[in-house]
Amino acid sequence: MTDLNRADIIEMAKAAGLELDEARADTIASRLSGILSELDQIPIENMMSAEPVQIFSVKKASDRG
Amino acid sequence: MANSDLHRLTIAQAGEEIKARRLSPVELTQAYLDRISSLNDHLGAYITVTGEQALSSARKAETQIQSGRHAGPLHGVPVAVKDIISTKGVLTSAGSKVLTDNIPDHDSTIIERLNSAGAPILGKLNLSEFAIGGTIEHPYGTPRNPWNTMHSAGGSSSGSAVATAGGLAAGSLGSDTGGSVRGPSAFCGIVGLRPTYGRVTRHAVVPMCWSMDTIGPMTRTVEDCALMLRVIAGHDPRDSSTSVNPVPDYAASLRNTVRGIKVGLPNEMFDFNGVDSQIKAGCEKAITLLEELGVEAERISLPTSAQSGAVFLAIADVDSAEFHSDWLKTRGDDYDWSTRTRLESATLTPASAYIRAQRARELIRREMIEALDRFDVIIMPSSPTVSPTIESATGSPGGYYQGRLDLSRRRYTSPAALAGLPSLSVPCGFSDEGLPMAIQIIGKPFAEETLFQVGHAYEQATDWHAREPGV
Repeated sequence: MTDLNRADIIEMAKAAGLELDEARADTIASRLSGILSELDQIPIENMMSAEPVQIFSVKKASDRG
Repeated sequence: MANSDLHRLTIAQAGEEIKARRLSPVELTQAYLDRISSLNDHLGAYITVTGEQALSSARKAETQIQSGRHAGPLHGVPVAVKDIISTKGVLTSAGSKVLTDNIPDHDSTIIERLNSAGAPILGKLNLSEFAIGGTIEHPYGTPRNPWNTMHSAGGSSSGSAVATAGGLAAGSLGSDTGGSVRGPSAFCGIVGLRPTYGRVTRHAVVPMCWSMDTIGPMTRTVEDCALMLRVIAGHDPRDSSTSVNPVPDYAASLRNTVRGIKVGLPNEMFDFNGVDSQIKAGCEKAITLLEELGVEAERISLPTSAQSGAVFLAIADVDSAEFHSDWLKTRGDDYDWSTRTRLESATLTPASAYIRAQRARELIRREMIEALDRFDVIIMPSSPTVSPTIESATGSPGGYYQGRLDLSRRRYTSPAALAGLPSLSVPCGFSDEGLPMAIQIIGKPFAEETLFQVGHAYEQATDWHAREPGV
């Protein structure tokens, strides 16, 4: 789902309760497609080796196991 | 020194003069207020100037110091804060028309800490709307780069960078979620720190992304940055993300040798075809100078960092959109076109993309931490370009902060943000057009001392920090 167009965005926006004009829908389609396309460049096997970080904490290097 | 030159003193110098009672905090504060009065309309640094409060604080500092109660290096030295930091009884607008009536009934912990340190607060600084970046029309005036006022001051802590570089405050605080301290610092030729996530409280600060928001000092020298961090860092029971790790005296180790410090230089940042040739050359020259000072530099690879800009946007913007969801529906027209579009775009980000970005974040974090197991610091450009013109940055919906170029810029500032690591931006010269360039020094969690040490050694071997914009 990396090639979103104006119609996709307007439909998604309706479901989210947002009213978009066509110019804004075009910008959002381009922006979201760009982000999704970049994410697609990360090899899926690498991606699946990592659990999604939901709760983030930073520890000192010496505390890491 | 004439009053008109007092703004040239660093925080460390002014603090020493005040401590020795050779300089009056009231005189210094008034000098800054005079300068704000004559330059702020042009530079757009401040949204609100709190002159009376600052002078009152300066008078209190003067009385305390005269009676032998000196509170430290910021005592009597005037600073300013980004307008997302809540201040009791003073507008906290977050740079948005949405919060044009927001007068908090309490101070943030950060403000309490500055007050305890005795630093007069000159006012609240302009920013990209809600610290999101890319604002086209700033409702409180356009921040202008003091080195060339036709150029952008960056975002989102633009006013903080303008005030510090232009001599409208001795130092300032900004916020860095994905580069909002480092970017404006690089564009305006000052030092800026993104501290380790959890090092500095965000209590009563308007949020952008809970898992990446940080507050950091923006100053004219590395030493000043170290002095300011010590004042604001430390555990805060009102912010559960803050660490209980003790706060060191960062300035004490500034002058330690950098000999033997191991530096990693990511191929993905130095060999990227989107990096300006002058920036690349300036950063490589800085590395050569650091090698002459004794660091050991080596090329490394951080393969997933190339996609870090998209990973950042897929997480941070979605978090931010959740915070803004009600206002977007009821007050959408009060947002800047760019902010609103970005937030609505985030609202429509598929949940699967958000989760994939979280997985990618973990990959990037692992890459960074593994590199920092082998190297003391990672160094790269703070930004792949110098500051663009305001017209190209904000003049149209298709400007600098939109689209592919935005992702190119973000690949430099997002890795440290996604991994929660500290990162220091330090000036490293000027382009042919006279615009500042900067290197970024990234370190291990809570290793800000090492960043200051490397940054200070480099700074003292150059004269970039001694140059002033002609405003």
